Amino acid sequence: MASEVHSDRSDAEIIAASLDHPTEFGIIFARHHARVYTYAARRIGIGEAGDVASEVFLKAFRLRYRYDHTRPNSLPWLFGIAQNTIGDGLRSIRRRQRVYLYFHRDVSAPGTELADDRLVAEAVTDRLNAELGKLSKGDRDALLLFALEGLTYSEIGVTLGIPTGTVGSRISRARRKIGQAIPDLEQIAARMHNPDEVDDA
Amino acid sequence: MPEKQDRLDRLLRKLAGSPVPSRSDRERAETQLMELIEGEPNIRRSRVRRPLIAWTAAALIAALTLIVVFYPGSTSPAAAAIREIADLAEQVDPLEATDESFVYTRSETQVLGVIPREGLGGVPYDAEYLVYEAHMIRESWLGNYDTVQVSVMVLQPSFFSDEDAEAYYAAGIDGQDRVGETITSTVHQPDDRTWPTDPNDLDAAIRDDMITDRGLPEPVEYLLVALDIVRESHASPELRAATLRLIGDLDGLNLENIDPDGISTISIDYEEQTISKTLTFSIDTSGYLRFEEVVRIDEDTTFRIPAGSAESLSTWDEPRTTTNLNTQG
Repeated sequence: MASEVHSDRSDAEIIAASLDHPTEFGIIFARHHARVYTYAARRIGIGEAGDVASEVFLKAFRLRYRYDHTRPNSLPWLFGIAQNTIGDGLRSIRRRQRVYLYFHRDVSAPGTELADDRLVAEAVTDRLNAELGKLSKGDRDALLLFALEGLTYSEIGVTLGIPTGTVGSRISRARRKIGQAIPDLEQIAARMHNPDEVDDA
Repeated sequence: MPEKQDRLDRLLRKLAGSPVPSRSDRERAETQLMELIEGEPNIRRSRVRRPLIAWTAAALIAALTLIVVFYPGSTSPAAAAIREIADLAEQVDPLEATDESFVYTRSETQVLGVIPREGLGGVPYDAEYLVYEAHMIRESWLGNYDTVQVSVMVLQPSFFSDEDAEAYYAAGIDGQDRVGETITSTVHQPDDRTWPTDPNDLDAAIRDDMITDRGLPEPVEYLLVALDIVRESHASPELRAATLRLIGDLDGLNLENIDPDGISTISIDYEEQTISKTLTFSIDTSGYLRFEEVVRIDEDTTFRIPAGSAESLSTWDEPRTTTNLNTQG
């Protein structure tokens, strides 16, 4: 579908080209489908992430003629579409569950230190979900886009359609509220294995 | 503000992991996309916009006034006005996009921004937080594929003191806020498709969407969700009317004014974390939200916000159709 995944052409150039040559859009899919899937899985679970990721690229293709071509990287734009797609899904499917962060660590071996670690992780995830649910949607989305997806403040601003400075204040406020609600966060994190090591998506 | 991950961020990421799509997930998505790409010439479809019913303002005001005066005694003036608007809004043919035109909405917003001192990059500043009023103009164009182009023009902020302004600019927050820029994106989708119009179902859906554990009174939380539905021009007349009727059932609403154009202004007083506030909103006779403001009645000593300051304030122009996708400013 996309032999130019690693070419020097920016996403903006490819999307522009896809206006006349629609199959070019396949390169955008090849470049970013995995990241969009990961983002969706982290937010709504792997059960629906496949459908959401697919829907994001269908919407993106329909919307491509309005893409802001001053932005070389289309990922924040795709995350923005995913954000809304997930919102629709959350409203219609998971309205009552209020789950904002899905536990995906592969630490399931029973009877091992990792199994204990998993129990701690599940408990922490439950507590974090409860506190994430108390945040405003804007604060929560900003925090998770920064913490989980590694977007810059500027990219989050594009994704959420807000000023960059507001992104910073939202993240700061979200951290403060969760820190106040879970005062033993430091100790919990310390119990997790290598909490400072982060695997890139 | 430094973009540095802290321990909470790293913990969140550790817990969430990095799930990857299966081969079948990827192949299915790729197939669906290719089918869409190959069928693109047939995607575009025409819609015939029905003409708007020409209501006269005078007749509407008269109707509103009559209803407010003669509604049964147990109904508050605010409830009566809202319900009458709901009846009128239900009969208005919706603005609809065509292949050549868009439903255009323009709003002006000011909102309080907060920067912790540590976010000022070492710029000397005495207080713990720098609070300022951000100003922006937001325009949206609803297209006929249920897509929306949004442009946000970030205007110069205003400040409560010269010291705040100096620190803001010295720290380069104006650059982070993208002051002076117009940011255009197409990420916002109208969500009225997911809201039911049956009153009981809609009431349940709104309640499901409410945040219930942050200390705000229930009618305010309900109102915040309901106003989201009627905030711009995307809701159908039926959904708009159903939402307004539910708003009319809320306790604590006060009718402030009905202006010569028939726009009704409603308010509700409440308390949030010991700060008294008033939420005021205005609805026009087509059921569109035209004004919304949250005013902090009390002084906020933590953030040094003077009494009577607007936490947020937005005004919306009357929605209309346009063929022009350029920003109007």
